[in-house]
Amino acid sequence: MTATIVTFGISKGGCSKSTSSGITSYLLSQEERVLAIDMDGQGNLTSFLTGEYDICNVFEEKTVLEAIIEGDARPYIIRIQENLDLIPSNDFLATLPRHMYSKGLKLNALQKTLEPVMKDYDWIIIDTPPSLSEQTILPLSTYSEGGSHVVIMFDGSMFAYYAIPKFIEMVEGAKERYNPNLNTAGILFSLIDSRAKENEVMLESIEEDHPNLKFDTIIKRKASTRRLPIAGFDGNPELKNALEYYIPFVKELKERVEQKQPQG
Amino acid sequence: MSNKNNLKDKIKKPNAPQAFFNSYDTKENVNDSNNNNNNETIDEINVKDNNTNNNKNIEINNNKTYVNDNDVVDDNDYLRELAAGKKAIKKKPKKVFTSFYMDPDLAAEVDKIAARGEKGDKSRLINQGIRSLLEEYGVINKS
Ligand SMILES: Nc1ncnc2c1ncn2[C@@H]1O[C@H](COP(=O)(O)OP(=O)(O)OP(=O)(O)O)[C@@H](O)[C@H]1O
Ligand SMILES: [Mg+2]
Repeated sequence: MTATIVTFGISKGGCSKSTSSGITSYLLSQEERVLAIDMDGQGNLTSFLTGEYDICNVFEEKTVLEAIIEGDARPYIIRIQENLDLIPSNDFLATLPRHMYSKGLKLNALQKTLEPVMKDYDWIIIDTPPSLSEQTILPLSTYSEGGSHVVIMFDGSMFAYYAIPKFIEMVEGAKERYNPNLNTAGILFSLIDSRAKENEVMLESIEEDHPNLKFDTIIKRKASTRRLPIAGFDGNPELKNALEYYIPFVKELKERVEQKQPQG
Repeated sequence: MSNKNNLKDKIKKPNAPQAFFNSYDTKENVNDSNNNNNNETIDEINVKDNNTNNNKNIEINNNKTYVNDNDVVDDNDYLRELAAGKKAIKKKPKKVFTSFYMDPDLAAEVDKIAARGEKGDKSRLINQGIRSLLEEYGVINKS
């Protein structure tokens, strides 16, 4: 069986893409083999999972950028813990479009890069930047026999609300050109400030605009979740609290993905 | 991109992601034409094994046409010898780069013949085929 790909995205910054993709990778790796891929030059997922913030030096020429240019992920995979691997990124990922241009690479370049390892994992979890760019489109254009899915992050804000249809356009474009089975697993509400009075209206609007896409689980703002990049997962006394909302989310994600699983 | 997509883009303004994807269509072309700007022939035949596609036949993509020169060389004798398995002598013609979809059975035959020849023979064969057809239709004069 080849890996099931899940890409976290939305073209609005700070909606918890990196936090959510990192926690999802961690939770899935408790039982299954996971490869996390950082497609954002900010390297937040890289730092989150490795605890390393000096990413330009530590991961110099050892990132997803080099993997894509060479068309082979294998030399660039690092082990985080049992069942959890990562392809890191750093600021040099900004040069990806230029490299793709000069090498004549197409938007399915990540597909080629991941092909040699597709069978080594149950899940490939990808974090993307908040932009319409190669870094976002390459993951969306990556096909897997095990299914390719998208989780759209939404923080309940007006800006993010208007970013959702735009992100769906990207999904549609990738579907049309490279990845016909790409599936939107759902819209994940995160960081909802339970006091904000417009939440109710936002929830209803999303339900109307995109029926059945909203995950039932809502990720609420939690100081312990915010502290995870500081405290890490290992031996973190507030881990259970920090992951509280993510456990039901991952369960729901698995159910949705299984429903769409290509048979055979 | 197909003609249909081209037309669609003219009717409906492409959204940003579509424009992004389209930009890669041209980028590929720029690279292709850069790599081949010495009037070399290009063997670029896309076989699309899509069963809904059987009636589509040949789809010439205007976006992908790069004109180097209008020189036309008749490759008939050369190809006849090649098809018969004889040693053929090559001329160096000027060509225009384009890409299109072929029926899978035709593409397979063309590949078989071209495999006996050298770089550029695939293009020669396709040209000769269309040339003969257009002569028969009276669109161009017999050479
Ligand atoms: N459930 C949560 N509770 C509290 N804080 C959170 C939660 N999820 C994320 N955050 C915090 O919100 C901020 C933005 O999160 P994150 O960096 O994951 O968003 P992002 O969508 O990846 O941002 P970018 O678009 O810049 O990549 C971070 O400071 C993060 O620690
Ligand atoms: Mg991020």
